[in-house]
Amino acid sequence: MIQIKNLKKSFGKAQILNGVNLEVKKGKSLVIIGRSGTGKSILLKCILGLENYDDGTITINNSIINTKKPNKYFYNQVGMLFQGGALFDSVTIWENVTFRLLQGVNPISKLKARAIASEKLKLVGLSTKIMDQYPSELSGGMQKRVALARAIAGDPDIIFFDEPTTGLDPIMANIINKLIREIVDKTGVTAVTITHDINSTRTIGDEVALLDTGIIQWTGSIKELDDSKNKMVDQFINGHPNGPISNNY
Amino acid sequence: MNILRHIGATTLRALANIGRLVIFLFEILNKTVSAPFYFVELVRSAINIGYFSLPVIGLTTLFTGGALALQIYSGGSRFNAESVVPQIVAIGIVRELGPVLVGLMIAARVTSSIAAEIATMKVTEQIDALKTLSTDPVKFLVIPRVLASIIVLPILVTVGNIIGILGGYLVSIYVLSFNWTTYLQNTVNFLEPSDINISIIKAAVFGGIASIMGCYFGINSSRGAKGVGEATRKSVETAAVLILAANFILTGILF
Repeated sequence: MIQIKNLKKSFGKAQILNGVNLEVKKGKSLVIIGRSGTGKSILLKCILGLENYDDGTITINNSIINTKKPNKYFYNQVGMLFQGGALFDSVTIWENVTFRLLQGVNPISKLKARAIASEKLKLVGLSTKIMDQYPSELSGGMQKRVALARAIAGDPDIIFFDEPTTGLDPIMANIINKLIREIVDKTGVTAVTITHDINSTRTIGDEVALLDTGIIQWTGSIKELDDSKNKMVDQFINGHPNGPISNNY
Repeated sequence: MNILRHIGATTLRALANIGRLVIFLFEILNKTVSAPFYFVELVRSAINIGYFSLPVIGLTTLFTGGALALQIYSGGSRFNAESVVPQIVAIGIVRELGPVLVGLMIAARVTSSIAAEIATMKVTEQIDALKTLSTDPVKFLVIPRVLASIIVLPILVTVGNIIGILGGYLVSIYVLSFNWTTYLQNTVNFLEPSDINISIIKAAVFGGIASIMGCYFGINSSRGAKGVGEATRKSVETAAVLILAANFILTGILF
């Protein structure tokens, strides 16, 4: 379970997160929505321990996350799909997928790693023919799928998705959304997704949270999204230019 | 007042950079002695830094050795000391020009490539990805490159020294009409083990400086293409200046 209490983060005079409170239950898929530049990515980086926060607490499975005192076992429990894929361009696809398993103190054999890579690539709908290719030889959509395979390769308890459909065509975006949903349903992992794509939100999410002006303005189930009675949520999901959501960046 | 403010801000920035660099050095030292060790990365870096630098090192030292022989002959002839060409070429290349030229060429070739590669990895979130895959970027990216440079540079400098002396030899034999057996004899007899030791010590230090600067500026680069360019430029500038400064200090100590 993920619990965030009164999380604050600023860069100079700009207060990005101003007391975020959030809870994600085990096995649930939470989607955090909000306009670009509202601090969704910073929130995710704070949760992942990639960015220091100024105040508040982040607890994941009863461990406090803090970059100053990193918990080296924490990353063994999580998977992350980065916005741009963040595949390592100097290694092949199968080495990318099984990177976590090949490195570290107790690496698995290459034979076993290839078998796991093959299994995970099939799970995300990719042919094993690409195993020995390099990321630069693949299309954007395929790279995203490989990144997804890498995120799930270590069978994590929690997976984070940063704008999983950004830069993809609508068909590929839907394929990725459905893949994420399938993985969440099949494996029972806890998922946290940040996006401003409403289609993604509807497909991936069990629960939704709206982030604006540095705080969570609304949380509810996906079923409540269209009838939230919250003006900010209404404005966001309908894309109205005028409304209570801040236009200041 | 504006000038004072500017000087103050520049001084503070410089001190902050030195502080960050010292912390980075301690981090490298601390993490070098703890598992896991990435031997494959170490070998890959050694091949990239050593083997692929051989052509540029060979050509640089060959031409410098040849030019040095011509200059020494020209200078020496002013006081009838043309015969010292083999000895001065040997000592000049081994004690000074070999390590410095190889160090500077490595700063141009390797420091820039390390800085650009790591900075690009940062821009494309690959460094963050490493962390989320339970891999320490300093252990995986920095330590193998630094160790590889410290191990490989003495070998490169030794090869560079031999080729540099060969350059002087070829010019002396074919242009200045020296006797080849006398030339070789004078070279071998004149060089002492301490000359070679100095060369190797300098090489290891320059290797460390070149790779640490590349890694430091790469890992601390700001976002975007501009950040990658800045990191690359700063890394080469700093590495080159530090190599020359270290050369002066080491020459003073090992004189």
